Amino acid sequence: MVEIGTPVSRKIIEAVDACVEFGSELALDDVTFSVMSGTMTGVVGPNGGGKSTLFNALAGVQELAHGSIYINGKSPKHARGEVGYVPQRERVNWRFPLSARDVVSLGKTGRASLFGRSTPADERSIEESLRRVEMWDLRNVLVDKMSGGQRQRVFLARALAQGAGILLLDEAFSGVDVGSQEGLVEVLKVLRDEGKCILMATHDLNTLADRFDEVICLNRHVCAQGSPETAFTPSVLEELYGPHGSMFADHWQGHHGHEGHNPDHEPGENPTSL
Amino acid sequence: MTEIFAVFISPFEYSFMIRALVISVCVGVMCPLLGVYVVNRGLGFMGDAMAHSVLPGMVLAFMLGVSPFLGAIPTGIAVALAIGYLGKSFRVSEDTSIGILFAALFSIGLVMISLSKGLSVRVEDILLGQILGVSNTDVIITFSLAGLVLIIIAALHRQLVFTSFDPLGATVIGLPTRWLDYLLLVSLSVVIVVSLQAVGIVLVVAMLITPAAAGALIARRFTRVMASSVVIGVFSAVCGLYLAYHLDIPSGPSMTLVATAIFVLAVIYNQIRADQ
Repeated sequence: MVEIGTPVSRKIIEAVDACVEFGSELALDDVTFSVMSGTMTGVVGPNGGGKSTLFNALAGVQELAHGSIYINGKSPKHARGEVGYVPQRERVNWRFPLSARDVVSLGKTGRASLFGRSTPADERSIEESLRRVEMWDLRNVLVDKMSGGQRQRVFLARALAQGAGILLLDEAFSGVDVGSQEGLVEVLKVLRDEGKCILMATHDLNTLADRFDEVICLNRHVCAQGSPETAFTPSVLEELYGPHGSMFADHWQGHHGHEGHNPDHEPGENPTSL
Repeated sequence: MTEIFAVFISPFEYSFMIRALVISVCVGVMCPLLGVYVVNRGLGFMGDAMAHSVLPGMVLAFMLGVSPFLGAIPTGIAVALAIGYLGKSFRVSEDTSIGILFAALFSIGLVMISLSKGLSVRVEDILLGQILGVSNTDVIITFSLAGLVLIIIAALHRQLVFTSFDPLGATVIGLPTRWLDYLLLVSLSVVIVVSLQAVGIVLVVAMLITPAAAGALIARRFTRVMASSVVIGVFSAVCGLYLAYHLDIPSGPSMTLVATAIFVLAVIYNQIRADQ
C-alpha cells in the first residue's frame, strides 16, 4: 500500500558489466549496480578508483568499451537532460563573471535556445530552483565570490531548473566547511524525499550512515553495494584502500578511532558499521 | 567652435575617413565582443598567434594583387581549426603547439615578403595597420563579416557562455561543446582578420584584450562586462582613428594607446572602489 503523496520508488539507474578503457588501462571493470529513485547514494573509493569516470559514463559523456548503462531504461546519450551534474570545483572556469541567477539560467539552455532568451516559464523555474536551495536572496552575487557550499547549492539549483530527476554530485563536499556540508545534505534529503535520485562521490567515510541510504564501494569495479552499515567489511575496505584500509576497521560510525573503543566491535570481527 | 569642427568633423569631408570610421566602429564592437571570451578563457596567446599566423595568406593575396581578405580569411579559419585540433589531439601542450605553429607561419610570411619584389603594400602597414588606406570593397567585406559574427555570437550567447564556464556541465546537458569551441575560434579568426587593416598583425591582440580587461574592471556580470567592453572598444577605435589622422601615425598603435589609457583609468577606478 503506497502512501498518498509519497513518490513510488523505481529503478532509475542500471549499470550492467560496464567497462571503460583509457588506452590499455581499464578505468571501470564490469561495473554492475542499480539505484532506485528517491534514494541518496554515496559513491566511495580511492582516488583513481573510477568515481568521476562512472559519473561521466552515467551522464553520457564517457563511452563504454563494453556493457550497458540505462537511465530510465534509455542509454545515457538518449537520457540527456534527465541527469543533472554538479561538477568538481576544479572543472569550472571561475574566472567567468556569472551571478547565481546566470548560472541557474544555464540549466534552461538547449541547442535551440537562441539569443539567450528566457521565457516567463523559464524565469519562474529559475526562481523556484533558487528558492528551493535557499539561494534566492544571493541570486545577483557572483559565484566566484561565494563559499564552496553556496556554489554547490547554485549548481544544484541549475540541475533542478534543468528538470533533472537524477543528480550527480562529484566531490561536492570538497572545499566545503562542515556546517555548509550539513546544510547541503539537508537540501539534498528534501530533494530525495521528493523522488530525486542522488549520487554523490565522497571521501568522507565517517558521515556516510548519517547522510546516505546506500553506498557503492568502487575501485574500478563495484566491491560492495548496500547500506552504509552493512557494505563495509574488512575485505571490502582492503579492496578499496589496500592494506591501510584495515585501519578503518577500528572506526565506527560517528566515532573516529580516538574517541574511545566501540564495545560492540572487537578487532578482527567484521564491523557492522564504520 | 571652428577648432572643434576642424578636429572632429572636417576629417569626414574625405571619403577615406568615412570608410575608416565604419571599419573603426566594426573593430571597436567586434574585438571586445570576442575579447571577453578571450580574456575569461585565457586565450590571449591564441589570439596573438592567430593574428601572426595569417601573414602568409595576406602576403600571397598582395602578391596576386587581390583583396587581402581573400588570402587572410581562409588562412585564419584554417589556423583556428588547426589550433583547436592540435590543442586536443597531441601529447604536447596547447601553448607549445600554438607557439610552434604561429612562429612557423609568421616566418613563412616574412620569407615571402623578403623574396617578393615590389609588393603593393608597405610591410609596416601589414604589421601595424593603416586604416586610412581601406577601399570600398574592404568596407563591405568587413561590415558583412562583422555582422555575420555578431549574429552568431548573439544567437549562441548562452551556449557559448555555458561551454566557457562549465564545459563538462554543458556536455552533460547535451550541447555540442567541441563544435561550439571551434565556432568560437573561427569567429575569433574572422574578427582578427577584419581588424588587421585597422590595427595590424602585431597589435590586434591589444584590441582583443585591453577593452575587455578594462570592461571587467568596471562591470561585474558577464553581459555588462561585454557591453562596457564594446563601449570602450568603440571609443578607443574612433579616438585612435582621429589621432592617426591628425598626427599621421599608424592606426594600430594609436588605437592601442587609447585603449591602454582607458585600462589604466579603469584600474584606478577599481582601486578607489575597492578602498571605499
